[in-house]
Amino acid sequence: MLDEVELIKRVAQKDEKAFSTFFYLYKNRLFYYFYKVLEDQEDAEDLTVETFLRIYKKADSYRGESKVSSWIFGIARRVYLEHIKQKKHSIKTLEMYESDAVDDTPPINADVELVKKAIDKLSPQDREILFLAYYEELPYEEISKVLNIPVGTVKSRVFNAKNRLRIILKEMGYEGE
Amino acid sequence: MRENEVIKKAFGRAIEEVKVPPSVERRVFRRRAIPFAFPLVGLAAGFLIGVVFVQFWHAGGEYLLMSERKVQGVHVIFDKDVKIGQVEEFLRERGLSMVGPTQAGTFLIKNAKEEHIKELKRLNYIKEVFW
Repeated sequence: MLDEVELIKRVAQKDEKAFSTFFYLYKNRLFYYFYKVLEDQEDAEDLTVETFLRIYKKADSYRGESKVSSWIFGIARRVYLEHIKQKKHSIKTLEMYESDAVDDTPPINADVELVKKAIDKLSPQDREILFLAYYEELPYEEISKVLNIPVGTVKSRVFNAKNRLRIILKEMGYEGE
Repeated sequence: MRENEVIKKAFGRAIEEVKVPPSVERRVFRRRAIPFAFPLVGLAAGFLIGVVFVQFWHAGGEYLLMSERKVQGVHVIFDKDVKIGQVEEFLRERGLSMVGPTQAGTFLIKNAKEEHIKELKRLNYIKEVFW
């Protein structure tokens, strides 16, 4: 299988096969991202389509300076913001902590299924930051570019989101180890 | 399992389970093709116009040929004293018609059969027959 950088280069050359491969690689991730951020299936569908079209159009602007997934979710995030702007929704601004929060809480080690259910109960913003940090494994610097927030804010958001996840898990009966 | 692995797996499972509507794929691949569709549509339109033009051109030719060759009938030259109106009435009564004259002075009696021609001859309407 091609690595993602090679794949995106081929998409830039309008290689149809590469675009198909790329589509199947990202369709669930992008749809999940939008669906969980917007909590609206129809809008998630529209934004997934729009993101793929932009990726196809702008694939040649990927410079290889960041992970492909950072670049993809950067586009996805812009698509999302434009959508919010159009709909005149208010973007919930989270508290901005510039301090480096020290995570000395016990690690989450619950059953995967339980964590999945707990993630579903998080706010869209918390889910987004954990998704980018833990699923896409983007470094904080790259998340800060995707979300257009300072690195310190990324760290604190991850810290807070994890705390809230822990609270939800506790409510669901997880006591920790 | 480490914390990051647990969270990643939980997300992974949720992503696997998410049902992406089939319309996403349809819309992405259809709309992506639109920028390329314009020149293709242009080419296709040009091709179709060409085909239609050639069809008409041929059809026109064929139409002329049909009137002269493909329509069943018999070419005749009428007697100079015969009035065309008389012949037309004769033919009309028998459900026939004719076209002409050609530059050579012939008429085509459409769908005429031998007995019609014999009758016309007997009435001295016809000077010459071209079977």
